[in-house]
Amino acid sequence: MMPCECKSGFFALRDCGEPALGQCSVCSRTMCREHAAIESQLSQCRDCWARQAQADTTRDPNRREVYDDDWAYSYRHRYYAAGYAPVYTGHHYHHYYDDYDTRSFAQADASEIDDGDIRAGFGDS
Amino acid sequence: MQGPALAPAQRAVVARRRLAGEFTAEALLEQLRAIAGFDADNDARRQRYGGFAIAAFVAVVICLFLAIPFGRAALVVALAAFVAAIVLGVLWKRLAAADISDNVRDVALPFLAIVKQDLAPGAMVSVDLDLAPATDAAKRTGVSPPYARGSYTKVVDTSYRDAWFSGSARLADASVLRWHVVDEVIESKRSKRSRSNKWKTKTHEVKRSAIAVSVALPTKTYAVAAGAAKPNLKLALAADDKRTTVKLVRKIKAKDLDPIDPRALIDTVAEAYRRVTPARSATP
Repeated sequence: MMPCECKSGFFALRDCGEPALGQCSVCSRTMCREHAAIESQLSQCRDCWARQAQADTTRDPNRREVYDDDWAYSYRHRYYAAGYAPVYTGHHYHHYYDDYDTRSFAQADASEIDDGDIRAGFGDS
Repeated sequence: MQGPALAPAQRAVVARRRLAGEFTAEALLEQLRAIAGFDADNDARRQRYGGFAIAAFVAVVICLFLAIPFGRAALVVALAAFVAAIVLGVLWKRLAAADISDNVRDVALPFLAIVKQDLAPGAMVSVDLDLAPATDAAKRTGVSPPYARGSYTKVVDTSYRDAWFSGSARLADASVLRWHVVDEVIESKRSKRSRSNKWKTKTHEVKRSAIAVSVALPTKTYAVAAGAAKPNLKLALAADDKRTTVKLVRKIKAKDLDPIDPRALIDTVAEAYRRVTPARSATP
């Protein structure tokens, strides 16, 4: 069974490690139950759902936040987009995080890392 | 966030105004969400009752004036408004007694929701969260003798120390995160006589928040660069065979008692992680 390709963590990203139950309809990453956005009927990963929710201008800005995992993923996206480059400590990098300029891969030796993807972001992060 | 009815254990936390112990992140956040929802509803109701109480009191005064032309009918309405004002005032006071610091829902809850992301499933978080407002009498550390300042003939400064949030957690990357937040508040009550010879008092508040964070990073996983800290941060590094500990202290000044932006706390932890790169031995 394919492992979940989504990453956990906020200050440091790590591999999820859980078996995948589906694939995100937006980014095509495999995702486990924990990383699937429930509100999307489990069709999208939490990262994509958070990005989409943030772009939704019809959302009431005064609504009370529940500070759940969906909020945390949304905040993580905003925080990384505002300039925080998370350190990655896992073994299976995914180019999804290239936008955030994830630090570890700029410093590590490309040949040492099994990213499973030719666009792992070594040169462009 | 709906205002849920509190479970008995949550009621006890609100009554004690303290939440301390070791919890799983899920259990802790669940408790805090319920308490935060309760507090938000409490605040909204208090505001409503306070407004109605003032309106009822104004109605009493108006009806007493109207009693001159309208007689007994206006007096009956005045009496009813007076009773309503008293009842609403009592309700307001009861809700005020159960008020808890906005720090819980505006700072602790979002911060812990973020910290949870870096915890292994089921990992424990140790917290000591003081729910009482910063100007609670128990937090008073001193009262100045009255003095004059500018046009104010009597100024009394009361200082408070509110060490309201501390905790620690072992993160999924084997780092140990510790944090401690202390607010020092000076409440200045300034009185002067107005032209109509009445005493008028204004209250000014100054708050200095100190955020102390330490992250003990395993040397097996991370290499830590010292570097210069940002201007508003104090940085210290300590290392032994197993861990490099990054200690950061940030101070924030404010002219009100509003909670600090939770981002200040998140940024301070992030500042420790900004200094790390994966140790060569950690790369696969």
